[in-house]
Amino acid sequence: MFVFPFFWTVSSSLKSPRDILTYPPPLLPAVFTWSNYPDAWTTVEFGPYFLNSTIVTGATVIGGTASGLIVAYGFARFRFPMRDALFALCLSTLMLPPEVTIIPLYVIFKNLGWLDTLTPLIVPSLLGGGAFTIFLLRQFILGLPFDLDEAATIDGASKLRILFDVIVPNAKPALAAAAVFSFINHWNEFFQALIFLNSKKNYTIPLGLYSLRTYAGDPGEPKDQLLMAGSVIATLPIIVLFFAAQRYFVQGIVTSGLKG
Amino acid sequence: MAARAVVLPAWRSLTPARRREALQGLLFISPWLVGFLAFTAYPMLASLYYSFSAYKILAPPVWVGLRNYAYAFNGDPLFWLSVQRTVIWVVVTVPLGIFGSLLAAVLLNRGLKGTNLYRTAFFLPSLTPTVAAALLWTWILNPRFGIANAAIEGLTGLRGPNWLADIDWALPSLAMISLWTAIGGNRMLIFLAGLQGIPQELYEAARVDGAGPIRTWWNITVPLISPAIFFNLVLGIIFSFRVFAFAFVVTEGGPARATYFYALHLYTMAFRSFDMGYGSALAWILFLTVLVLTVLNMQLSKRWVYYESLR
Amino acid sequence: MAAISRRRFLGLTAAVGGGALLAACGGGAPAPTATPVPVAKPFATVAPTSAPAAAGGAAGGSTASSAGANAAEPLITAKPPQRPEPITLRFHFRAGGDKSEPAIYVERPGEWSQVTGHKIALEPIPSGKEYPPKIVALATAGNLGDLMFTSVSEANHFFFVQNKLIEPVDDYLPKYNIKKEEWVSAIIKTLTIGGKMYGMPKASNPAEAHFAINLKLFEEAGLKKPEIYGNSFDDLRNWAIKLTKGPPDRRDVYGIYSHTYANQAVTNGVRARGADLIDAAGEKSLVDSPQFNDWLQWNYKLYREDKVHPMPDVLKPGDSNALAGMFAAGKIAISQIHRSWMVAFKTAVGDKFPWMFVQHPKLPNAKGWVANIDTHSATTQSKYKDEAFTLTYALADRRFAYVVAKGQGYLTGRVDNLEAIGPELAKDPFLQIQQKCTEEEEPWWIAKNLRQLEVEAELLNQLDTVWLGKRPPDKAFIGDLKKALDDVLAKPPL
Repeated sequence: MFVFPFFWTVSSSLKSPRDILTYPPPLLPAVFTWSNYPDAWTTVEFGPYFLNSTIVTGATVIGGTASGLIVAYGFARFRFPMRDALFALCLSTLMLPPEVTIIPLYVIFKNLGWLDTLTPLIVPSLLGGGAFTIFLLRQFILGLPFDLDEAATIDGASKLRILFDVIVPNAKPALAAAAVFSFINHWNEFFQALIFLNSKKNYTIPLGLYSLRTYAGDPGEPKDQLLMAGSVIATLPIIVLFFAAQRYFVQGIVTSGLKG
Repeated sequence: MAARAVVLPAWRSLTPARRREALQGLLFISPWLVGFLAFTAYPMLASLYYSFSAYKILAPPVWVGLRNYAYAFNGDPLFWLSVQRTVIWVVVTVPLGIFGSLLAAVLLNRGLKGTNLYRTAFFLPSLTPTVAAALLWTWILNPRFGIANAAIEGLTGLRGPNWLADIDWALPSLAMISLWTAIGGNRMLIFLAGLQGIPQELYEAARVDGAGPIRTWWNITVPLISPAIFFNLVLGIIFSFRVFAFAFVVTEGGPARATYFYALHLYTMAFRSFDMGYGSALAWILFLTVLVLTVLNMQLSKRWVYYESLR
Repeated sequence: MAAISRRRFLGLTAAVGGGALLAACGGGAPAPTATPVPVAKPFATVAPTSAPAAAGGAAGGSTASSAGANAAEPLITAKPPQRPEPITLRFHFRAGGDKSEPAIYVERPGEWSQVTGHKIALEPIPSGKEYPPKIVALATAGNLGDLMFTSVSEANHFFFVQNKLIEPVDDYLPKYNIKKEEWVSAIIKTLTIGGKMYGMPKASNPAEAHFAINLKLFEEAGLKKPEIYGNSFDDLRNWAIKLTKGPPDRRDVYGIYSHTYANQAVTNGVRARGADLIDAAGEKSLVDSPQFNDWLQWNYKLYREDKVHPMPDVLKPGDSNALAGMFAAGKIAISQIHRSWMVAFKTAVGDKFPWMFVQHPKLPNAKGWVANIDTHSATTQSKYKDEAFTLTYALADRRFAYVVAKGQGYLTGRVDNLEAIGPELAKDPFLQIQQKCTEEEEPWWIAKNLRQLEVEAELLNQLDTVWLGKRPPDKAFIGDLKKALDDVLAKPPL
């Protein structure tokens, strides 16, 4: 039930334009058009897009998760005036639809000279990793008992030490979850890429895929099969990553019998 | 200014140790603060200003006061229409999504054979790029040839509905697609992480005490994953109010605006008509609504969410 | 940023040159509006090449033949003043265009490039409806390119003009000895705003003013082969009823597909009956006219009473690939057809059965079809306005008409199209209908407050409730529709 749609995606990716135009639409292609994959790759020039997507996503996942952890630690383990208000403010950034903030943001990036580079897609995420990550990790840290923290403090550890030695090992499932979400969000981010990027050499994959869409009035041959092939290519890294990240989800808490 | 009035006395009343803690805390959250001030504060304030203006991006904004807001509440037929569609969406998909993903997480947590595979299988839907998923589901739900109706007819002999092409079925169809994506996705992973984080000793202790599965569930599992539930609930509400992607790609708000969600209306106004002033007003109305709901959520959470270490 | 490489360009001109030799006798073309000859044979023999790969198979002429379609005619007639250094023009267009319409975005610019020595950097903008936001974002940063695609039907042309993104052409035309009259008057009128003309027409034809007819099904139903011109609405409906097969709620064959999901199709339907959709000032809708009612009732009968028109559950509105598929599979006997669907139709049908085109019916007092114009326009932010202008002209001149007709199978907005493309190509019946319709065009209406897209959305969504059976097309409906449209037209201007 869950896998079938993916199977269909792959099947469609192997269809020829005639299959796309066949009525009723067939389940399997008449001829397995493997050439769709190289065609999609060259039509859309996937090579540079793949590289760009990898750079953006790699930087934001690693940098964003790390800085999100630091910020979440701050919100979860420290008391300071206006803390809850600031946290609510952080959360509120998720509530304003990006369509209305993207133009002022565009002007900011223009003044910084960052337009048509990958920088605007990366730097904001490095500064806190986004409210989603911060919220996730903060919740998780709040679920960890103080015992381990206190034990480490007695041993003379600084707050930073506690972060690395106590929190991180116990937060692996949450960190993995945050990393995976961050990956998916950034890998599939379209709108920001559309507005901030210009030259084809800087495109990320979602932009590339979009040019395979047939728009109204497009007089060319059907391209759906290329779109599907492109989508499969674009999705594979995520699947691979997910498999790799699996083991972090299985890892349980380090319990050291401190209870009681 | 109000901040200073609050912060300064609060600061003065702290002991040196607490002051140190406060400074350290601020230091730790500084990456976010810097990012916020640099990239978020100005755009947010700018969009607030636009909401009180007539602004078409290529010319400077012209102040019009409350005109945009007045039009929204009392003149735009599409405003209330899109609100209604969106509210239905939120009320239906948030509870179902949370329940479904929790169920999936619990199932996966049992560690049955082939869990790895199931986990990936569950997760696959949420990985598919929207554009591809759109084509996929259009095909599955094709009223004449889609397998959905083929299955219905094969099993019951009745004709299936027209799904995305039917005014009454379009929204439920999208809800279905959304749940397919949501159940195995992010939320499930969060629940999984939460479930994994429950120390086994607690279950041992409960077993020794003679507690049955239901008591264990309500007295141990639920409280300990309540931060995760809260997380999914808050974010679920925030994001479901902004439902957009599938309606945009698959139905374009139709048929006859059956799936014309609020975010779609906003996008249409902002980027099709380039009535950015009105779009900003719509955005801020949404923002304040969701903010109020979230604050309510957070206040209520004090009653049912259990944090090991909240101070 | 793909500058045309010399090697690739040479390869292309070789292909074009081969075909060009055939059309070398363009000077002796028949009169433009001669009575067209109905062709009752499959289209496979006249199918235009739609991909460069296919074009490569044509006669491999030598590069010397790149001199032009006619041995006497130069490739580029408007050359910008000399520059000490070659420059690069940035060209915005809808992504995918270089693959679906290489004649327009690769071949012809390549020729211009070769003659002027300047380079062209193609900057495709992903997707159709996301085109304007990107242009607006670029313009806001002062980063707009030198020339760009615009569309009247998608309403972005007027928006760009009003926001001073497009350079008027009035000063450039006399400079290069170009007469406005090269193009159909409806085009000139539509593109002239505030007394100045903006943009060079890439294409203009009333996009859905024709129907494709499956002659095999006609024969099987005992129907005579129709005339190309002069059919009536009743004719179409009667044929459709005879051609439809199968039980009413689950047809096997639908008699007709009539395009009701685009405001241009609606406008054409109303204009063919003698009225218009919106008044000339762009302030009030005219849907309370008897002509609109005729259009509405005619289609309503097809959809819901006679049930000879596929409903959205069978055919998703706007899915032209599915439409082509159904037509090719013999599931739809008569299909209204947009010029951009030609390639899909031809690919799908192949040589399965003979088919032909007829013009959209019209009454004697019909108004002109909507001028559905696409342009390429030099921008106001360009630093190389002369170069940009001459390139836009190269994408609108005689040779361009030839290149497009050959490569893409449709016509541009020129008065002399059929001569420019040469007799071989001008034999194509579809092109002949197109040219006739183009000459019968009248300017499109513009909403005074420029909210074209909102008007269209309101119109189509309201009509949906009728086609899907939620409301009858009665006076109450028309009243509601008129009020809704008038409200949109009364909104503050953008």
